[in-house]
Amino acid sequence: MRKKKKISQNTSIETLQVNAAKLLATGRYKDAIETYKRLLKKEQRDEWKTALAKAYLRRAQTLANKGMYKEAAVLWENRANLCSDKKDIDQYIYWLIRASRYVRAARLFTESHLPDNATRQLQAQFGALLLAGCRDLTEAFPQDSLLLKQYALIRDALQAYFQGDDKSAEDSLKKIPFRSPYRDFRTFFKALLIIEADPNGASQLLEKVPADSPYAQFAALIGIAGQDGETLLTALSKLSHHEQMFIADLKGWDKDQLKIIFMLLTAAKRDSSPRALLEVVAANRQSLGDNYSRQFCLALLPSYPAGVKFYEKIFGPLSAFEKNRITALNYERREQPLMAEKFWRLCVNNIKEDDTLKAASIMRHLVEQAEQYGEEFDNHQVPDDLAESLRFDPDDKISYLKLIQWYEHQDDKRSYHKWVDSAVKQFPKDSDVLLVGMESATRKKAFKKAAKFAQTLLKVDPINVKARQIACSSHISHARKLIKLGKYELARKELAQAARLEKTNRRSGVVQINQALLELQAEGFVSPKRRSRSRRSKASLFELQYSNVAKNLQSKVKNPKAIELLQEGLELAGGGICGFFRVIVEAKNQWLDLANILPLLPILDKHYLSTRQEVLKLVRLINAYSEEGMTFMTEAVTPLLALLQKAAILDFYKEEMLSLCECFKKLKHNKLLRPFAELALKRWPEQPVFVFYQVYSKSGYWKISDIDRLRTAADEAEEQGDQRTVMMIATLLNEMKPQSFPNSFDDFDGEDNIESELEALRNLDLNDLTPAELIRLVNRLESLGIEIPDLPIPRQRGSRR
Amino acid sequence: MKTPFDILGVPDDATDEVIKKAYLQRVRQYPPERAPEQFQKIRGAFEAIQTRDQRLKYQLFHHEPPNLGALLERVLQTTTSKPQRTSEQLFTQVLADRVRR
Repeated sequence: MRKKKKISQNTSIETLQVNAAKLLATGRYKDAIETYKRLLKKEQRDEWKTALAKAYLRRAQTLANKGMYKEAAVLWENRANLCSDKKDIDQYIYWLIRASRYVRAARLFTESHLPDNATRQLQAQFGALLLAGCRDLTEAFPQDSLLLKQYALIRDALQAYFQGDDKSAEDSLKKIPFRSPYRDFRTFFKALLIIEADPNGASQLLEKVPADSPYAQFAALIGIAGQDGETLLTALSKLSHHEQMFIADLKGWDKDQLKIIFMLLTAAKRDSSPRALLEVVAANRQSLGDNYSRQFCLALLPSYPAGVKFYEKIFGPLSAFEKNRITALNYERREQPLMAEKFWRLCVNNIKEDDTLKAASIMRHLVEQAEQYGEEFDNHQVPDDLAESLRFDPDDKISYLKLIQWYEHQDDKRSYHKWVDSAVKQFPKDSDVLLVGMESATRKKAFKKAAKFAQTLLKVDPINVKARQIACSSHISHARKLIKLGKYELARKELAQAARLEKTNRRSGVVQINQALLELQAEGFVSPKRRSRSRRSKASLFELQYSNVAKNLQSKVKNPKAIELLQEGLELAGGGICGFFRVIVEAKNQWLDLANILPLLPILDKHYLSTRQEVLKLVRLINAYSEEGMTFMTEAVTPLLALLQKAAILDFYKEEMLSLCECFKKLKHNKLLRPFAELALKRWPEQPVFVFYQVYSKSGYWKISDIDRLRTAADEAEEQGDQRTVMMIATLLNEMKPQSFPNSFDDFDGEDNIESELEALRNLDLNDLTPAELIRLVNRLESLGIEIPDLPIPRQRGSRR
Repeated sequence: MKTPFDILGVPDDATDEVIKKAYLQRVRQYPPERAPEQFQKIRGAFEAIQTRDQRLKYQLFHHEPPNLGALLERVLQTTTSKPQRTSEQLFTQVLADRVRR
């Protein structure tokens, strides 16, 4: 708050004058008025009177802007005693109107010569007041004035409107000129006439009433009649009783409706609670319709179950099923799934036997609830509920697919296949079901069955890519089976079918490789060996290709088509390491000796360096074969080890490096994993996941310092939120038992920090050591001159210690 | 209470065919390019009850309570009387209140 400076009685006139001028200039009109009044008490100077008059006017304007018209008018009157200037009298007249001093305002208006603009605005105000019932004003204006003459026309229009004679009302309006003081009245009155027939047109007219018009507020009120729903109710709640009744007339609400609307307004004040709404509807069910009221109230009960008794009192008893349903839904609303489930199960018990669809729907709803909470695979009730729902209603594909997915997730093969069979039986031509049927048959190695499903599916959905792929690989797999059985002709047919299914631009080469292998076996060039040595051979691709070169194998093949097909397959498979990998896998899959097959292909240079794309493609192939259930990927990669090791230097992205390391880890090819992990560590130093892969690749050759590195990496991974790496490190640390350090106690690595080695030793759980290891540890510590603590050396049978 | 059945103007026990017919009729009345909001409502209602299973699900598991606006809409729907002309007295009073405000 501004502190008022006390002005001493003895302040000089000069000082007061300066102060007063300053106060006036800075807009502190109230203080300026006081100061000039003091000055005038001392001496009557004209310049001070003029300044005081100015201060009064400015202060009056300030108050009027705040809506304090009465006070503004009084200040004007004070000013009038000081000067005869009538320059801003239109403002004063307006303030008088706003202060309800109409007669004085009208008298001053008629006496003053105002500019046209001010006259028009004030006339509009007086016109509105006349229409609002200020009859005194009729005497204040001359009978032949424009205001009163046109007022008569407006009265006629209004009377016609009240009597419902719109035609006469419009005729009267037409007589009012455009520049009339009643111009805005004419606009909103037109809106009033058409609001019933054309609410949008009425709304557009109402928008034309200017915000500073005396009718602006009334136009806004009429606009409320054009609203609906809760907006209307909210607007109504802010109106006076008369205004509400006026809107009711415009809307044509009858007494019953009005009664309910007023009750709804009361309910709205109670936050429209379900209880308030229940009471309103129950009290007005005859007007609202019994069926509607019953449904409305029933729909309220899940959010207000305490209202069940009230509902039953009004509408009669609810069944046990309905009561349980309401309670279940209420618990769902409160996010208490266990309680909701309890009541849904009670609902199922309440359902009569012939209403099986309802029961099935509830069982499925329970499953959906489990899914909503992300618990579907942890909840062992889920398969039972789904199975039960299918017992009630077997015609639900989604339930079958969910059941199949559940058992697949749980790796319960028996149930998985059982439900796939049931689904296929129920929906023999459904593409989703046929897809899972194909997957199931492939897993059971029932390739013929899988191909049959694929054919059916391709009839239903000829462009289904997945079906085409599965059909193709099923024919190939079945052909492999037939080749092993020596049924070459049948195998040829299967491979031909597979070839037809492959799109020309998407051929993988597998069909051609198998066709070649088939022909080589058919002519007796090679034959499968169940325990082929090559399966465990560590020979490189180069060695394998060269091993039989001297024998000139190519010339011994009778059917040159076989070599052509093999080479075509190699090319289609991408050539390079990917092509050879395909040939190796397919040959191994048929138990063929690689040393007899690989020399038939062009020799891959020993110094061949794969591209980044090739290596990534190879990893995708390995993963795809593994997913198909091929279990010899480790052996299949062995011939390519040397070539792949060299590829570690390629410029892989971090994510690619991760997938490569993971793939090689899965293959247990530590010699391959190590160069990749080490190069990754050079590029991304001490990245926890690469530390893990590097240490992992040293399996069996760990140093104690590796434990420290892993622990640090685990901490960092934890900080980075990389829980997967944390878990992998934890598992590896558990595997790193003391016996995994063959020479750890005898041969400390001189290059490593001895302190960190000792720290690692201190952290070892001595209970994990065998007595022999413990004794070796004690001896070593003694030799290093380290004080030996009281060790818990385990007692051996028969020895005291 | 505007249920999907109310929006499409079909009874609670309507068949798939009846619902689809009502839906198409409503869409013709409120095409998406001219009345996108209304269309969304109609589409949502159709998707909620277009099959027997969905209807059953709606009837069993829908638990959103009806609101005041829905009830008001119903109240206004049940009107039998027409908009009427207000009395001169009420008109003048309301006009006076608003003009003096």
